[in-house]
Amino acid sequence: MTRFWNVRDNADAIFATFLLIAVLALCVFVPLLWPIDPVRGTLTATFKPPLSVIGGELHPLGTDQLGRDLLARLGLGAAISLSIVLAASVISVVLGTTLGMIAGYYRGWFDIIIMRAVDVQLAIPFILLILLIVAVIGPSMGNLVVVLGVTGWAVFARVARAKTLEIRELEYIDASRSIGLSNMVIIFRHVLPNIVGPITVLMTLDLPRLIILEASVGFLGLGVQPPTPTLGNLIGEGRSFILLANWLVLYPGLVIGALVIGCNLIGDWLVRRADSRNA
Amino acid sequence: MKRLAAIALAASMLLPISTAIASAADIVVGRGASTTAMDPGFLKESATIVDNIFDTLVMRDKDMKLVPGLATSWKAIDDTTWEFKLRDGVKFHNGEAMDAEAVKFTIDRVIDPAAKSPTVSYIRTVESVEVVDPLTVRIKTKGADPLLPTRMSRYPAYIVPPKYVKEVGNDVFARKPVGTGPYKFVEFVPDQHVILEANKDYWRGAPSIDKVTWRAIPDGTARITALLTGEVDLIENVPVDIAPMVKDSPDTDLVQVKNGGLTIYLGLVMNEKPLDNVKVRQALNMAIDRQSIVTNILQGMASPRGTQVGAADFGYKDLPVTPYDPAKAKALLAEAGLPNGFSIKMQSTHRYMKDSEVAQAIAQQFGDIGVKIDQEVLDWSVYTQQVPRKGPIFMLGWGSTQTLDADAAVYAIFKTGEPYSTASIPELDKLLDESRSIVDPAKREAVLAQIQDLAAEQVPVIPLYQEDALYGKAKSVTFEGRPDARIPIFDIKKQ
Repeated sequence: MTRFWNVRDNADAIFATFLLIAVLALCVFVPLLWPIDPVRGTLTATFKPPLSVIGGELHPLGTDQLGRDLLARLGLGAAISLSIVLAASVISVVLGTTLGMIAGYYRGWFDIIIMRAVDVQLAIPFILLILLIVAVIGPSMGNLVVVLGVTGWAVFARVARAKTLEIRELEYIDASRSIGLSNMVIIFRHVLPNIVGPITVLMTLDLPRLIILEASVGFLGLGVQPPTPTLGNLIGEGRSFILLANWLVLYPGLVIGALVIGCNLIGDWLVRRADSRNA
Repeated sequence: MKRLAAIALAASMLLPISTAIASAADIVVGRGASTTAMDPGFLKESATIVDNIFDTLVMRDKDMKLVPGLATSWKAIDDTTWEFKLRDGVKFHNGEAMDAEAVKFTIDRVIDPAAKSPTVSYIRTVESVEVVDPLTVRIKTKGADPLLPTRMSRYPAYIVPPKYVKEVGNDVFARKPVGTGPYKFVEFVPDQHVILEANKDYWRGAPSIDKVTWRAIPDGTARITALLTGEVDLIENVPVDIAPMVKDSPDTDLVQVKNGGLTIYLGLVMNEKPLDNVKVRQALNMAIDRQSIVTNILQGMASPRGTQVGAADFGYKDLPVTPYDPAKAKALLAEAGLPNGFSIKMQSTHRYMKDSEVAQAIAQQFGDIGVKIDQEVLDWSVYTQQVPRKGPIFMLGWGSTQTLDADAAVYAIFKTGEPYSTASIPELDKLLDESRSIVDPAKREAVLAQIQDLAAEQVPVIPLYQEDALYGKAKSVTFEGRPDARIPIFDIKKQ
């Protein structure tokens, strides 16, 4: 317990937690409490710099090209981006882990087919595949979640399979089999709890990738459609005005940066803890 | 050894001086898009570059009056025949003579149905071309065509060299064009630049600028930065928000050509409910605050419009801009049986001045009268696959700056069944067809005015505003901008 609270050893995790709490606070409190509408603009108040007061309303982060409050848009945008990313991540994890466990547990044809599918999936550049799919089925929030989720399953399948291969040879699995438990019960009651750890670590390390992917798709205009903000949309739209109003790109950029750094540091820290516990 | 070093030093000192001298007579133009091909008969883009390599029989001066070009004079012999007298002694850049055969070849290769020229519609009225003698050519039209000399003043009627084109084929010609114009082609690197050099033997005299580089700089901010740092001398399509930077800089000027751009409109797919109801279309038309959009989003770089016809066009009727009246719009929706409004999809793209911002502002204004807009902002490459059929509301720019005639502004987007039209109003169709069969200018003008009146009432499309053309230029360069969007380097001087 003392080691957990050792500030020097855990400085990165503390810093990361601070970053993530800040972003989460932005995602939760701004959409709930901030009184200004994020999609309604005042055309006479465009490109006002941070801390401007217009008609008695304070705009702490300024206004955008249509006179909308940037703080309100940033809060909602971050919340939407984060929801998309988390939902997509859950889809990837569930899909990847299930297929990986089945492949590792049953071996044989299942294994071959699923693992070759993993190879194929990993060989195709994500962004290209996502652009293709979104171009065909059309851009919408639901579609984006499904596409990001379904294309991210491969790494989870690999890890789940490797772990399952290791666990299926252990005595307690033999014991479970000998008392007549069905394969499904063994997989989900006895294998799954033992691979949750590595999968969680992998998930924290995969989140930054999804955040950036969502932002890239939004930046390219194929993600969530305006006027709804996301982190990527905000940067994509603000880019044209960077010489005039750098805050339109600066603040969304900082939020993406904080999210990615936070998740990465927490992921690294989890890996370190898992290693020291195993050692 | 010492001497060698001295020579090297001297050379290094001389080099910057010599390039400085050379650059005074060179010009670099930054464009929004790279060119893909430079065959003037088969263009799929604006003629900005080919306009400097080729000449037309008839030219437009800076007041847009028709003046002699490769033809010294022209007259109508009868209702369907025009005779052009050609300029003597004009040669193509490769030495071929420009004569009546070249004119016949130029037009024949475009009107050949098998060639499928994308711009054939501009000279579709031509029936055949007849060579009388080497310097006289007669063009026969299918019906009476008072606009034929105008048609000979723009693409696809730039005169091309028959021998060279036959020898190298169309594909090579598009990459290595040869014309009679003030500049000769030197180099073309796709997505990078096109380089031209002065044609010292040009029939209007040697150009004052020796070398022109057309650089493709698709990003607006990068284009402005290149101008401000002196990397380029002239840029097209200045983004409106950062235009003041060009105006304020001590080294650059903003050139604003009033009404020099496209007219932006909202297309309505009329066979979809509820857009088939004229009251709904009128309501949408009244729900848009054009003045506020132009003032606040476009910084005044456009003019609100009540008609699709450009202000400089023949046949333009100065109709009042539809007033912004959300209360009346709501009442009209109620009359149409939609008191609670409706939901509809609106598509837009990134191509025109701040179009995505304008679309969002319009969506908000439609929302104010209860019309809930589901917005889709697509990349141009995807957009062109879907528009104009999908919509049901879509934003597009249309222009007649190249012909300066109302026909080009309305026919293709109002007439039932035309590729870019999603309207279908039988009365309007009748007037449109009538306008194409009239020769007498006064009568034609009257019918074109009727068309615009009917469109204002029936709303086949919702006209928004006409963009200005915005150029940025270094102070050392003379350039005023032209209503027909050309950049004739021949007329540009640089100190």
